[in-house]
Amino acid sequence: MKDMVLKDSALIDVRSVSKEYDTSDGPVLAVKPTSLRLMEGEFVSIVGPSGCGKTTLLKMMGGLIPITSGEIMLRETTVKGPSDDIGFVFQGSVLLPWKSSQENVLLPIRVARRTTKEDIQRARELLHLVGLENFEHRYPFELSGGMQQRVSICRALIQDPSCLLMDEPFGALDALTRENMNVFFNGLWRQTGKTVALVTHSIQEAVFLSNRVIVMSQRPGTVLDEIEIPFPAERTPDLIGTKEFGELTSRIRKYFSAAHLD
Amino acid sequence: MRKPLSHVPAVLFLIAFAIFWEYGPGYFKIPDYILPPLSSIVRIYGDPSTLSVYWTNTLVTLHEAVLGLVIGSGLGFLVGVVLTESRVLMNMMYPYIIALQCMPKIAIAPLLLVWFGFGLTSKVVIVSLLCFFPVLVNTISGIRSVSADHYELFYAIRASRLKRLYHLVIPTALPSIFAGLEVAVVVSLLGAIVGEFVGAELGLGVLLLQAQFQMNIPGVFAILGILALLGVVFNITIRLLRRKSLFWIAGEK
Ligand SMILES: Nc1ncnc2c1ncn2[C@@H]1O[C@H](COP(=O)(O)OP(=O)(O)OP(=O)(O)O)[C@@H](O)[C@H]1O
Ligand SMILES: [Mg+2]
Repeated sequence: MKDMVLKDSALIDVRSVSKEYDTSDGPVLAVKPTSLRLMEGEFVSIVGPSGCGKTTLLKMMGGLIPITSGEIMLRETTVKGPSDDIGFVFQGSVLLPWKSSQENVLLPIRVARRTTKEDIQRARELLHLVGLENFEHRYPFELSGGMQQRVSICRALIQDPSCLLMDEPFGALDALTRENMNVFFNGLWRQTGKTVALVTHSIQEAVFLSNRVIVMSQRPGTVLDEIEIPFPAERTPDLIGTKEFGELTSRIRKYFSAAHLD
Repeated sequence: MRKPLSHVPAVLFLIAFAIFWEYGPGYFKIPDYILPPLSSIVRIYGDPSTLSVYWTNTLVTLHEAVLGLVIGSGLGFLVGVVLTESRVLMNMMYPYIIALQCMPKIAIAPLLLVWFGFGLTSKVVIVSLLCFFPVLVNTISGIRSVSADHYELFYAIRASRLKRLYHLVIPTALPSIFAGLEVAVVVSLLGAIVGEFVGAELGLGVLLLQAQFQMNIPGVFAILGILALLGVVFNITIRLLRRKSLFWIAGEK
């Protein structure tokens, strides 16, 4: 297991970035100039009311949609499009139903070049890591929602990116499965040492998993506050019952007057 | 999975139907030239010389239908893929495709005969034309059903257009393409027969006309029987192919 020493350099640096969508009713400002940094090895969650621009922000960080103003840096280079060094986990698992788990995991490689024995080996190791060692040759329709989401996490990891961007990956799961996935994902993060940005609707999930929680305002979204989560890297379900945990979640919850978030 | 006895009602119905066909015409005093009893039709299948005539002509019709089916469906699929990959081409061609699709294409069969003669070519062209549209239209609508999320995934993993076609677009469109193919197999036989009606020297359509001229009604029914059998074989083939290729869709197993 890696030592969870956060390095002091930014992996992704978002510099006063904004996003305006063109719609039939004219331009819509989804994200107003926003700055934030993802440090190497850090786990950051982004919470905010529905429609505030979380997905937009995450997609801009991943180079999936163009930005309207500002600049995003991935280490020393400007983000202009998708990169192999960033793995994106979509809301809903977005698997290909005609491909087995293993083939779904290998997809990013297949579209780039011929797969090698090592690639296949790596896909199997990843599936093993997420507890799907007996499901390599199963198809998505044979897997539960949680299993499908784990396959899609493996797919994001197959190119061994430095950074994972995840858009509500556990949103579709029931509460119990979700909690299990959180514990499991904490372990995965510690083992792989990836830098992670997680968009979530669940304040509890955000506090449980993160080093830092970023709270966004109503649309047009921007950073309202950043809350450091001082717990050690290894998190267990007992943590959720502790006083500090409760204080942190209620501190974040105060930002949302109405029932925008669960 | 079918229950073991689920075929029984269908078989019972077939037996009842056959008995009714055999004895009904006699009972209701229907003359032979309107509806001959079943046995007089079945007897034809027992005659080796007639059968060998049927066989050669069946092969001719089959050849026309299959060749036209393959060419027409293949072109329909290719054009569908090319059009959906190019917005300009789509905007240019789609209105005319819709207009042509609504036209009864079989009506140009006489013209095609003038252009391509009485042989194989004219029939293959007719069948191709008939098979082209259902496959084309279904390919386009299948490709349009690819979700924005999946396109975004393929953008994120930086897939080329060709890889995206191969790994995403065509597999997504496959169920719809098969729906088009199921229509195409039906119209392929239809096209071949009508083409032969309009003008040909060989084929089941020609035999059918000859039998009709000679008032050989049992012969007409015997040929219809062969056509029905061909239709069923075509349909089963497509459905087997579909089941093999669409294993991931619930209800296909
Ligand atoms: N492609 C688009 N075109 C036009 N407007 C868009 C587009 N995508 C998002 N928007 C608008 O931008 C705003 C932010 O959307 P976004 O999806 O980023 O919100 P979100 O915070 O992820 O919401 P949720 O929590 O519900 O997922 C919304 O008002 C939305 O209507
Ligand atoms: Mg969102």
